Amino acid sequence: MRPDPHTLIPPRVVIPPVAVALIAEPLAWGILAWPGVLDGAAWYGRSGLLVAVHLITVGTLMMAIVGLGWQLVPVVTAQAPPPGWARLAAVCDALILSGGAGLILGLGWPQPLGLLGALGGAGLIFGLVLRAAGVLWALARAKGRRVTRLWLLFAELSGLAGLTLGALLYGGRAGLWFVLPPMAGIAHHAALLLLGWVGGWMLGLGGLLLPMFSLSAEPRPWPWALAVTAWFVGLALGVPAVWAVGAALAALTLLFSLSRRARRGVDPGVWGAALGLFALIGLAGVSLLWGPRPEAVALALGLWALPFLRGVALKILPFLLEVHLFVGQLQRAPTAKTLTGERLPRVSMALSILAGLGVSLTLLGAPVAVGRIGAVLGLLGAALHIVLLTRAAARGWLAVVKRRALPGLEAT
Amino acid sequence: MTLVHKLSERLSALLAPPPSPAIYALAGAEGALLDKLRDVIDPEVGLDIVSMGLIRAVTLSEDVVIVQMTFTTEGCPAAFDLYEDVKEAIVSVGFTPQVEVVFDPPWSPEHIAPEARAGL
Repeated sequence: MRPDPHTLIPPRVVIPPVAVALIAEPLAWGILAWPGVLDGAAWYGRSGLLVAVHLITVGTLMMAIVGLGWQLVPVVTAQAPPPGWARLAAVCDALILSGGAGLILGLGWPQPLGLLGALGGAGLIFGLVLRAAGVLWALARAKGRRVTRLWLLFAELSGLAGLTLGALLYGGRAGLWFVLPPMAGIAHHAALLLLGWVGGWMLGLGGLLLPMFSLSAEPRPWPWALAVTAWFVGLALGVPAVWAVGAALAALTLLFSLSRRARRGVDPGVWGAALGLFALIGLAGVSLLWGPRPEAVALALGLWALPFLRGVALKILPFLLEVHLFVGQLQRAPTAKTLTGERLPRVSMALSILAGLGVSLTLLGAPVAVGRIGAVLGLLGAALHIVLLTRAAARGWLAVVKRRALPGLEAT
Repeated sequence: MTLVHKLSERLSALLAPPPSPAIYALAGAEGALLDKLRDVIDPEVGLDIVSMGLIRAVTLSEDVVIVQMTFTTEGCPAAFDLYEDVKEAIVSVGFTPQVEVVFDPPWSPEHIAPEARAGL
């Protein structure tokens, strides 16, 4: 048996959504730092907060999951992707990227609910449904890793439900049809997409990748299976307490697994993700004590989802960069860690956490200035993330061009 | 020996990880070939694949070298490159490679060579 070269997915389908995710995050922080946005004042005639939230949810979290998902589904399924995977990815990328851009521009455009937003939303939904079909097909052919597959399966089902609700809400606001009371509808839309789709993918992939990169065992199957069950049963039934039990169990199981890693050093990827998991436990506590609250969305995005995603990205992106740059070269190539260095990832991660903290505190009642300072820090942290990845790519590329390790980049 | 000691030993034996199937050293020509495989580096951890515990067997039969290897996970994006690098390493010392990929038992961090684990 020889490994299938198709487990390495062409970068042309992975890079575009990941690049958009990297660019959308500083844009979102920039809008949040804008005067008046965080205190709810109009922003160019529209809600800047709505645009920023969608830049984070659709632009950053969704695009990162879409891009990384193309590469990581074969790891989850433990085999080469189904035939036509790269072609499907290219079509979905085109629909999702153009649709997402249209939706966000539509939400931010001075004219209410313009045609651009509707067309963008439709393209985005079509691309995501097509992608869901591909992912579900790949998962159906898989072997092993049953609990990880459950996270992804339920994430996709939640995503489809959340998208349907989003389309109904959008049409309802445009006066096309009567829908659910807006606030209840928005809460369900946010929960299904943010906790169901984004959360399911992040924990499913994070539960696989973080232990793998930290050289620790995968999360223990029973608590991990109980966590995924409670997480999605709670969401489906709309019972926050059940979801909260699943969230706390998921966070604790993954933290326990990371605590038993063979790699003793704690790099920014691991501590960022770990802090995100502690925030998830906090979010579970808030839901358990006070039920679903709008402020929980800020906590979920700023303190859990973004730091956790940044933590995972700091592990997987340099690795993929390394693999693609040094394809088939028998040489002591620089490792992923040497390409990124250690200081910039640490600073970027710290800024991201401070940013989430600042904005969350403002939405929980602290002065707006705290949130704006947080947003500026978030902008700096996200920009630094782009800089460190660009620098890593440039260093790796130079090393390949010169056919030797750069000074100070020798593998350890 | 007290009952507590006996129970404790029995429990430790039950909880102890199974012995690593990886090889870290061999004698003679096969040992030299195993050392050659140390030129192939895991791109993420930065350890050579022998210390990582990815090599399960190296057998020399006339001019053919049979290598049994594994990867940290099935579907690993770096698997094909590592596989090709192993073949290239053997060709570079004048032998014909025959590389078999096995996943039973699956790789786990316990398979990393003890001295390499200490330096992680």
